[in-house]
Amino acid sequence: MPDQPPQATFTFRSDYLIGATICLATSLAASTVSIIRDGAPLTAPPWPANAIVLGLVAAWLFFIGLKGQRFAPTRLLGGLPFAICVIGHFFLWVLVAGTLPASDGSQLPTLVRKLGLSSPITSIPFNAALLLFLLNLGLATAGRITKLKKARLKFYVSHGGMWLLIAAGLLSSSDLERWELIVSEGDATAEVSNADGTQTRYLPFGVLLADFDIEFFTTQLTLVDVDETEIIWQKGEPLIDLEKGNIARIRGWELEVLESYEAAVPLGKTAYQPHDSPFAPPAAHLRATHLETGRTVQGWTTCGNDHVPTTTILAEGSDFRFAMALPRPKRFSSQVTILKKGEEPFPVKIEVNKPITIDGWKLNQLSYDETAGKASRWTVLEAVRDPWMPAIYVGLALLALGALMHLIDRVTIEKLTKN
Amino acid sequence: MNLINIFPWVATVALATWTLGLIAFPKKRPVGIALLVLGTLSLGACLVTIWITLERPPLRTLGETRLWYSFLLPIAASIVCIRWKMVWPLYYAIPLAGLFITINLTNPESWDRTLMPALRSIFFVPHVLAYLLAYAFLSAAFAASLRGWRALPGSERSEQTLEFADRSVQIGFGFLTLGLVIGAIWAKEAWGHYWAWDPKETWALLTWLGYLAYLHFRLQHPLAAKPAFAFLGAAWIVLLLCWFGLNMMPIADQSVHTYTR
Repeated sequence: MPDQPPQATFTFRSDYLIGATICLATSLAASTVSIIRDGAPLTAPPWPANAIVLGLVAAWLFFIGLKGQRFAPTRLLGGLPFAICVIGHFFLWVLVAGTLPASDGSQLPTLVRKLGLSSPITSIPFNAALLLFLLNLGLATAGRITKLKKARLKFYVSHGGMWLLIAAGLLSSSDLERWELIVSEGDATAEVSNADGTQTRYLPFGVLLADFDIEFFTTQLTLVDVDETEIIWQKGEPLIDLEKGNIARIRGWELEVLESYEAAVPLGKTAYQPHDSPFAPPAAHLRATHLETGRTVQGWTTCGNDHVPTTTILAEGSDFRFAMALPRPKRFSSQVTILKKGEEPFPVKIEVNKPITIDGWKLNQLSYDETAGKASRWTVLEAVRDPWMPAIYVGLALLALGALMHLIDRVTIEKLTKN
Repeated sequence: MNLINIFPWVATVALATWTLGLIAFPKKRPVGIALLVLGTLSLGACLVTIWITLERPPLRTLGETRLWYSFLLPIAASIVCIRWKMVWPLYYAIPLAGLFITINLTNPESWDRTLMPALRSIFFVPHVLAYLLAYAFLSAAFAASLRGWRALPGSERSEQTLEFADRSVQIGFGFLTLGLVIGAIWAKEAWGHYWAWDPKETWALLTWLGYLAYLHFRLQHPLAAKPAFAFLGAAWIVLLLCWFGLNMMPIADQSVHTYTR
């Protein structure tokens, strides 16, 4: 039994053929342009041109939705077969981008570099595929506006939201500013630079770093080879907290943590004592007993740093040493004072996942002096200005709302409608 | 005794009760249901124990996500089964959940307490759970495709299976979209931008596009059962590549999402 009437099958096939041809031609044309431009990145027009473009395209789609549905090309470009073609077409470009290593392009084959695929968002063929996706999405949404129905609400919400999200995301890229701000404790600056340090600018306010604070998890035991050249602890083996009094077993040894200091300095050659210096690494005093032979080893271990050498304990008769893993940060934050002309300085705390917003700039906690660890005396913040954020958030909200409406609809529907 | 060490015992209990439950279900339904519920609840209790012991949500490593998946898959299948009065999905979903538990038993976790600062966010749990729920429903759809592939095209069995698969995909796709949106908002809050073309993000987008194409294909070809089942198989492979396969790809070390210690 055929799935569809012969006429319908023929129409579908011709629609698919035209759709696939449009996608292929678009990819070829865009790739040619990209190669001629030697892989130069595509940039969106800046404000207000991008807003005008967005407005014009939206108006054009609305007009087509109202008036153009009687034209076969409009119906085809907003139809389901073309949707399947453009989704597949975009999928293939994302697949290429998803299997290539992200880099500055220098390590990639020449053709890949010339197609700009090391940075998909500025690649011409990638953006061309996205534009076809947007065209179909826009026409499909606008085409149904002529026949508004309550039952189609979730369609308008999810498709309209997706269109707004992608269109605003693409056009806003030239207005998005991301800068790094590096400041030392006690210093103030308004100067920010881009990630590779080639460009700088000044924020409309200054940032004074009052204090950088970092908290670590309890240090853990690791195992290294006898020559201390590599870590030989393996996934699946227990992670033992080096906390005073902790007793645990690993590789046939029972380990007891006799003492543990968050910060310590050597005391002679065989011991450590607690110290309040930020440059003092953690240290732990361990006793390990071999469960079969009863052999006991005892000693101090520290992960060390630039000021204190690493110390490990040889597990006699075994091919490894007990060692302390590098401490892992639990949270870090910057206590800063914002300095603005004509206003009283005010203190704020910036933490990972807890950014602050000042004069349209969002300040995120990005990094710190990782080699110094808790002795870090400077912080790296990211200053982000994204005037299109409300439009993109509306797109995201509509998309999420559409997803929820579809979810509720699917769970409550009794019988799937086949047509 | 560290309570977290009970995992192998709980996993064994879950595997045993699920097996006995599936055997008992056709003839002694209440006993079968009780055993299936007992196995699933024991996994849930184990997850709560791990959460409390680690003092963080156990959603960080691949093994932890597998454990959640094994817990959620029977629940997802049960929801669909109870809602639309079907029994057979349980016979696909529960063995699949059992397979994932077995993988965890043969690849023991180290149960790391640490959680990097970037993951300390209110978005962490909803983002990962939305994805795992999506994976559970989409896997149920894949299980349906295996059943449907063997059915005669146009038969009641084929149509019923396709209907189940469609509903599972529609629910799974909803969660997939929610996971994507929550992830984008989280990335904006934590790193300043919604999308960084991190390899995991790229493969999550590929998975989303794969199921988006499936949904449009189904609208256009409501009677084409075999191609739909083949489509589901291909989409599920993309999902698995996103979830596990990425860690084996050369680009894995460029991702902040490769859940390794």
